[in-house]
Amino acid sequence: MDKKGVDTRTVLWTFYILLVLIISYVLYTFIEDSASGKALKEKYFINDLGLNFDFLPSLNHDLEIKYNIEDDYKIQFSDGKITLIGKNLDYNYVQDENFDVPYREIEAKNGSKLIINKKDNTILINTKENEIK
Amino acid sequence: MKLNKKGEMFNLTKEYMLWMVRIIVFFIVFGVIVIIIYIPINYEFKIDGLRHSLLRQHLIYDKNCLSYEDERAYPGIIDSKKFNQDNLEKCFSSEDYGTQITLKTNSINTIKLNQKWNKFEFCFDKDSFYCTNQSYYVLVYDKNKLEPGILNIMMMNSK
Repeated sequence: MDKKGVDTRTVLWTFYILLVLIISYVLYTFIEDSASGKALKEKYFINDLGLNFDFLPSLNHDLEIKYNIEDDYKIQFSDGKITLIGKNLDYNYVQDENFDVPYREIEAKNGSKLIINKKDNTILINTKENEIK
Repeated sequence: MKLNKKGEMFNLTKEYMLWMVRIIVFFIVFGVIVIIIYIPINYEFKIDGLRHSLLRQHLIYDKNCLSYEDERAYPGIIDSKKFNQDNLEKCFSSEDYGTQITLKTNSINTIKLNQKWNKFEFCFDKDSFYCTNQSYYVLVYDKNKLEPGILNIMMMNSK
């Protein structure tokens, strides 16, 4: 084999190894999330949160809901939509336009609490860190 | 090995063709692996039934929607003044749900919410849409009087 052939083979093998490493990493992360129940927990969390936003307007009294956060989440509250940033998960809730809901991004860290307060026609969303359960 | 111009060209094209085949095979294999792993561990929450139930409660019990209110809200009593298109579109704003609300007292009044869904016959395709149809016995507050009525809520969304 000439010099050019040897070089090509080296480049090819490096490329193959890189591909195998990338694919293995992506698949490992995906399987790890699913097997450990992390992906399920995230789906459950976003659905639960969204269902609460569907339900909150039908309550005619004030209410406070506290979530124990068991992972680091970035949650985006926007117009009729709750998004778990970086997880490709969202929930479109039915809006009561008489309600004042803050559209903002919230960072809820592991061990903190996500607090949703309904006061008359206003919904407040906050986090409280390191609160003893 | 010495190649003429034509031979070099042929080798180059052959090399490109080989790379094309490799790339296609790579994507096919990668896709098959992802599908094989993804299908058994792809958990789905089927919450359409629960959502419809909550959204019907949203319509009936929300004081901004249909519930009669003086100093407090009265769940189960429908305020006839609130039964209009503008009010219901404001308190039940969604792109994803087609809703048809019918209030039967001495007369029958129907309101359809969400224009996008109104062009379809209600629940025409049960394979593609999730539909519910529920009636409630209610009291209707109209001109300082309470009278019995039936509130029917039909709701649909795409699966």
